[in-house]
Amino acid sequence: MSVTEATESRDRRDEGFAIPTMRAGWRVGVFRSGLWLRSWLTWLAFYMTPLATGWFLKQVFDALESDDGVGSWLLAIGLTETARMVLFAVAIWFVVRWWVAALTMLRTNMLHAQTVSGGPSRASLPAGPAEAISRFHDDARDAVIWSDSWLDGFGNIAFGASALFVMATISVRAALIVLIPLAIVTVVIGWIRPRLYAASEADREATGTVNAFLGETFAGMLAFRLAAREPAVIRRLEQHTERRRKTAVRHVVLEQSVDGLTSTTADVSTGLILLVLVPSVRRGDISVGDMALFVTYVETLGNVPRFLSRLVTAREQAKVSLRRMGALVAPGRFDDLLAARPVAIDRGDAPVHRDPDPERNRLFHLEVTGLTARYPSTEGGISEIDLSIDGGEFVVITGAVGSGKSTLLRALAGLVEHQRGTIRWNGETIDDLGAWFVPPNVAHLPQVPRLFSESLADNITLGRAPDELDEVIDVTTLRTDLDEMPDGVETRVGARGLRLSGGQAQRVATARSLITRPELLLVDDLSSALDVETERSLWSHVRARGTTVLAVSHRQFVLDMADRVITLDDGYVVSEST
Amino acid sequence: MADGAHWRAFAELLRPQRRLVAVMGAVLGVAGALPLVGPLLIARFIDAAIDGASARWLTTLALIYIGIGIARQVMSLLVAWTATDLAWRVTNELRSELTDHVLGLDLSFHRSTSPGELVSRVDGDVTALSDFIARFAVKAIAAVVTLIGIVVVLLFQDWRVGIGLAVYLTLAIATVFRLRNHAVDEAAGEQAATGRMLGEIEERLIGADDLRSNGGGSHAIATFQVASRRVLNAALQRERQGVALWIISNAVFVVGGLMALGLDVVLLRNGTISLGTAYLIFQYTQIMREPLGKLADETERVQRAAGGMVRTLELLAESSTIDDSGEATLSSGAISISINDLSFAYADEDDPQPVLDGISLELGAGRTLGVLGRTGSGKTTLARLLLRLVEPTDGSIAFSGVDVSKVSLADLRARTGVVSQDVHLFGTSIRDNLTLYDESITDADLRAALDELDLLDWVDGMPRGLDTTLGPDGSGLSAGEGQLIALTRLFLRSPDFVLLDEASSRIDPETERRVTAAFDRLLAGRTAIVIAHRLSTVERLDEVLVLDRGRVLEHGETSVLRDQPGSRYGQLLAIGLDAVDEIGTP
Repeated sequence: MSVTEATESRDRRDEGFAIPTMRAGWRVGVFRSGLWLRSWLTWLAFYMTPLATGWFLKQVFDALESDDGVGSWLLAIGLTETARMVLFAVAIWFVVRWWVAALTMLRTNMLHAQTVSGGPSRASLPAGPAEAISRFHDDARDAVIWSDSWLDGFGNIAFGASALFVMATISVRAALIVLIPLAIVTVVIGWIRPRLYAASEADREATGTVNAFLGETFAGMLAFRLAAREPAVIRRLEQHTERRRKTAVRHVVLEQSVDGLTSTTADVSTGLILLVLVPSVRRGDISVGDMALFVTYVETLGNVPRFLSRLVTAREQAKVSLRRMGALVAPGRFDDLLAARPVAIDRGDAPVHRDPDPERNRLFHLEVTGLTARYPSTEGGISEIDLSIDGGEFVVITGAVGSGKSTLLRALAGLVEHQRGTIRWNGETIDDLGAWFVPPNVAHLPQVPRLFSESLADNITLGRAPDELDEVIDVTTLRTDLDEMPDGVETRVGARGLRLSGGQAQRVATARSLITRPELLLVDDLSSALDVETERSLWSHVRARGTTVLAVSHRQFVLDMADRVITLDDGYVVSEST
Repeated sequence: MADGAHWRAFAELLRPQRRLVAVMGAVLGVAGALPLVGPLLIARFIDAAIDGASARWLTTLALIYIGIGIARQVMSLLVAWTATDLAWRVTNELRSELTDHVLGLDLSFHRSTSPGELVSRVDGDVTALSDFIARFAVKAIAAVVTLIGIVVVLLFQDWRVGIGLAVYLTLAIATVFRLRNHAVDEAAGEQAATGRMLGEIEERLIGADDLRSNGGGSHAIATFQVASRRVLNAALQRERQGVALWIISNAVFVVGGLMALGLDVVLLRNGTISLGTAYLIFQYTQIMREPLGKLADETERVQRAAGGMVRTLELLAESSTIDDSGEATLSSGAISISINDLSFAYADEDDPQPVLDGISLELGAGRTLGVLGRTGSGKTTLARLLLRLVEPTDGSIAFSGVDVSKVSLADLRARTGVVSQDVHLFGTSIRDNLTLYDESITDADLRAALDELDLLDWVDGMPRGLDTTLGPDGSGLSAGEGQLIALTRLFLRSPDFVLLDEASSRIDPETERRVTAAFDRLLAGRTAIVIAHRLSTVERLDEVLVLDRGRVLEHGETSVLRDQPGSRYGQLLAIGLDAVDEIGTP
């Protein structure tokens, strides 16, 4: 129930902006304009070849009738067909490279909005990460299919028009009569498509139900066995599988109606041509070659309705997909999704490097006034926080669970929107906290840090030059752990760092926060990562560097070390001691 | 497994649907033959036109052509419909059979096979079979009919042409199929690269805050693009192969068409064939393209179906170690239990330590017994033996004087009932959770049972009463509420012997009160064994059994043992801890 409500509210929110489907299709196409243009041209030539083959075939049959010069026409057919195969290979070569580049562009733009530190492009995730993956996969694909369908659509329309023109030069009647089945079938396919889509969804859902039912049944098999209810389970299973049989049949029949219509269009068109040509044939105006030409053209014309309807379907799906992807970029900035950010995947693409960190701003004084960040749904958060920290100070925040300690750090790091309050860095008001509160100005070490499936070194440096890598590894006592790893700092830590122990992961994240020697270090409770001795030496090290620290901690020796201790309760500062 | 056994088993599956198979075969024959008619009609049309036939005859030929075109569409729909229907009917029966079989397999089998794996075997492997029938077999049959038809028709036109085409066709089929068989690996490579790339994105999204506050966003993009580069390379790899396949199979047909035209020239000059036939020969080489291409595209379904069938047979070959050949039935009324020198050791371990070591016990009809003991004392194994989920290594159990191994499992299950500690709930309605899908239980029966257990107001208090739907795996109810469901399940069946495994976790006082009340009503007049986790539970029972390391440490009347100096039960009471599981070594 709650899931449905959430989905509905999300859909309502997404309705907020109009989707420029045509423009999006164009921008996705011209992202690699050279490849796209070349794909257009090669596909066009490819789709046009049956025009030549059919015409040469006419010459062959006419020559058969009059019994001369067949050989050169057969050679012409052979050459045309060879050209067609070459064109196919070339077109695929262009189109695949364009295709993956366009997908990467959309994905890069979404990933950028989701991971950029600050600035107007920054956006939040509308639902969970797993759900968002379908937007990176299926929705990106649907948007590219839309752009791609223009290539096929154009090729087919161009062929169709040319074929009809050539046919009209032989018999206007024959050309005109073909339009009737083409038009009817186009409409029919247009009518079937949405039903086919719905049927395939229903089929998928029925399969999901069967699988969920079986999964639960096997997990709870004892309950059924001991209650001798196996027959009841089987009966219920049969209800589910029966329903799926019906959805599957509907799905397949609709699918087959679309697939079969291609040859039906060709058959009916050919029959109609024969019908209207009867008088001409009897007069001898139409040769066997002409008929061979008609049959060949009409066979390919049978594809046209399918491609036309595909354009329509692709547009509809792209609209939905673009809207869903648009929810991953900043509100009101749909064009961020289509931005021509550098993509380096093909040979010849200039390599993409990480952006340099912003310039360092020495911290002499940090002033926080009236900082208030309350979560709309829950009680938690912070209210009216005033803080004044001098450069080099070591300030510890303490307080009960839920008193707002983490929120304070997260609000400062720009990870939680604050409703009120001012933050001044050496007296200068910082508006975009996210952009400013990054290394080398600030580093934030959360309570539950996240690692990524790359090397241990990359997890620490996040792509920066590894100048200080050795030092931070020593400071966080990772050295002994590294000695046991096969590839040292190049050891890959597995998906989400799961190959490391909890403590190791925490220490890697600690090293990550230290590697840029940030001016200000925001640390959310180190105690689960480090034993007392290590933590003590770590803090001495950090203090010796002159780093300003704002740390959440409960450990007594940390409180003793602190220049000042601030106690929070229910989001308010309740005491401050030196 | 004997070679081909899986295909025989497959044919066996189709047997019950013989009539549908016959209908489908007829439909397929017609559907496969129809594509042959079009070129024949055009050939007649050409020859008739050259001979100066009547307009009426030519018009008839054209109209038949249109009719055939429409008939082809209708037939293709009929084939799709009957084949899919048949495929799912047949395989649904197999799914039911497999599910029933799997539900009856040993606990050890279920422990070593995850539910997810079983789903993929009962539904996934079987779906490979239905795909094979619905998407491959029918196309293959229709294609074979078409191809044979082509050869036969041409043999009638000119036997040399017919034989020549048959030879060409054989070569074409061999080439196309040989090539397609390799295409699968590359597709898998591209899928894997895409999977890794998406996995990386998901990870970055999960760690988005860490990236943001540590300025790692552009690093994430740089590594994502490296992963995308691999996707491109894998895609190009796959396309290279795809293009090569397409070109070769296309070339086969181009060459075929050109050869047919060359043959036409020769035969026409000889005057052996008419111009119409010349057209027919050429056109037949062209219509072979579609059925052959379709067949080749779907050959991997054959392998998948064969694999699915082999695994299905393996699953069906798994058998239960519980012998269900006994035919005795239990006399009606409450059951008395006698356990005689019962021992049990797990056979699959290298050094089998007995979990139960010579237990003997008598429990009169209608009596209730509480079993106490730490984890590992053998309580759970005793319960499983009583329920005949495992067979004893030694010794026996008799219900009302009949050895349980002689009683049919159906009768045994009907007369016994159990509430286990971790009650399994299902993501369906409360009603289904109570009846376990038994639709013969009416709402009236259900309400009566709930009323008797004093639980009616509890169910009526839920958002939609009996229709309230639980989340996946029954989420939405607490452990205590799960016990209430299980007690009601039991009460609905009214068994004569009840085995209860008390919930060890803490439950809220209100639910606790309901559980206790329902529990007392359930036990009234029944023989019961309760695996107790609380001393307060045992106090309400007639007898106590204390197990330790698979042996009986103590057994007697609760009221007697309570006051008997030196009794283990008495000591436990004296310590005053209610939850027995928290006690150290006795």
